[in-house]
Amino acid sequence: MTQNRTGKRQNEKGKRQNRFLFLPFTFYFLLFTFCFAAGCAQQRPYTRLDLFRVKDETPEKVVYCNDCTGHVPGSIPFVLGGTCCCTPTQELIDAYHRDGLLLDYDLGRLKQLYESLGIQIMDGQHHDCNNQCPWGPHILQGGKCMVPPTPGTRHYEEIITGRFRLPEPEHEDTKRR
Amino acid sequence: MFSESKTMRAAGILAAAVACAAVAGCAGGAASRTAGRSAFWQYDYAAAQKLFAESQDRLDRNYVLYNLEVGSAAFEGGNYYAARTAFERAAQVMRGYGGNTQGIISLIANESAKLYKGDPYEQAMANFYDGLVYYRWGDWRNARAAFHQALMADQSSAEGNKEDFAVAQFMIGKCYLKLGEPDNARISFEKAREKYPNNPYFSDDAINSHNVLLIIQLGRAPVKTQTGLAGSNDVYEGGRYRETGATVCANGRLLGQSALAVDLLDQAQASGRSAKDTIQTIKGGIKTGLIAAGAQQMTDNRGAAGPIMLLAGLLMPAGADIRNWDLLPGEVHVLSAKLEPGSYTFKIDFLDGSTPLLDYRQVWFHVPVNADGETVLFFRSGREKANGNFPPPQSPKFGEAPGGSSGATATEGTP
Repeated sequence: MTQNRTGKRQNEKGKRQNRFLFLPFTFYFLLFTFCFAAGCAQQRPYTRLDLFRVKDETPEKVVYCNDCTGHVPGSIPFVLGGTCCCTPTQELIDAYHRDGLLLDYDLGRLKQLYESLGIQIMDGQHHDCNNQCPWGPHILQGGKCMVPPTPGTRHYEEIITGRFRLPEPEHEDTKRR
Repeated sequence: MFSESKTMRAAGILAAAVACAAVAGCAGGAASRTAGRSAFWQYDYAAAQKLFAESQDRLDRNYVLYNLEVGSAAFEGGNYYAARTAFERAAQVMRGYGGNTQGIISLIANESAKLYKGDPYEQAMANFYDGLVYYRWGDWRNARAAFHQALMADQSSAEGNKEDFAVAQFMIGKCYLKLGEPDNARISFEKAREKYPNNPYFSDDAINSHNVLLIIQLGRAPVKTQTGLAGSNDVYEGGRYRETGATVCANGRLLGQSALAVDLLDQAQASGRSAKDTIQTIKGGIKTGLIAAGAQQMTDNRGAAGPIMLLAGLLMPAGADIRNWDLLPGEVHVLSAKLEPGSYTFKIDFLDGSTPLLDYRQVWFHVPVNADGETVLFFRSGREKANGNFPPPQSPKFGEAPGGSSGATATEGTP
């Protein structure tokens, strides 16, 4: 009897000790999970928001003209409240004048206007950036880049039709960097 | 019941695991690359480029891969300026002799410890993209040099597969024509025709009369997997994709069906075997031998030698390096045509055999065909890529970001 009782007591004591042994494991398991979750929290999962719809073959109307679409007669530069985003050239100035627009502007004055506003126009060094350059996004999206977007891309179609996405606000971390 | 020493040992292992998990989890570069890849396959190339660019300047063993990823995202997104920069950065390291120490270490340690320089076909593609951008800009000399670099990279392929990068030969020929060297051009075109004699766009008639060139990329890159003893060797398998060709219409008029100009699976499988593969096989053999011998010793109860051999075998790094440029296409096709200058709607139907894949159809509006010179356009297949869902119209005013904090609001209706 006594031996049995002693044995029982020892078993219970052993069980209690075993139970306590799980504490460090539980602690480390929780710490592991926490660290892993904290690390993974940096991952920004990418999800496209718009659902797919088959594209209509009828072209959308060009609202904002540029060098690729050709100048739309009657439009004035975007910076002057119009819809023209063409690179200033003598031909373009002539086209404005033919439409009776910007009669007090010559090529030099228009280029100066863009320069004073910090807008980057297409030249030998700055082209084919699809408005993802340091001056981007496109001026329509609040940026300083007026290089025509690349035809055959979604960005091009969005810009010329005026149906574009809003630029994402820059993340604080990126700004600091 | 556990003894105190065992508990301490277990705790030590767990602490190490905690550290590993924290390091793995905190690897921000890996996370942004994963997110970038996700954006890339959902066709948001601008977002993908930004995410990949976070790793672009990290000077580690994957430097080339980071730049190739940035280049791919920029190229597919039409940001050719950034694409050229990234591809050139990658190509410089690929061509260079850097990373020799890591290369030697990788022979005895894990193979993936070496500086990634890509397989010959990947090097050829990086230079090919570089050349395409120069060609689009009308810089024929630099374009020709880049296409030549692509062919040079292909020279490291197995015997019989050298100089079979037909699309680069074709483009070199076109560069020579622009530079007024028809004899050299003819030699390059002949080499391109040798590989693909039935490609109608490699014919003299098409080359001389067409003014629009479409480079169409199809499918997914070949996949590199481990094979052999203990996964010590690598093998290329075809990426999974359905499209086998494409038909193109411009303003409703059928221009024709695209023709294969380079099959990247063919190119990848033709990379050939090198001394590295032999060393990898030996490493795989030693690893398998150690494990087998260790297990046998343990079965025979021959003391500590068994567990030691088994452990050494298990810990020995023999796995092949399976890093590859997975953003590449599976095939590159060409199509050329003669079109009057003007604005066109291009409709591209990708085909599975002869069946058009409707959810792969791409329609692109207001694509200009220049009056002077050649128009070069790049397209890439993808399921549900050309989405007809456009955001609502905006009425932006200069100096106000539409919908931004400046107070400007987006309104419905065409401005």
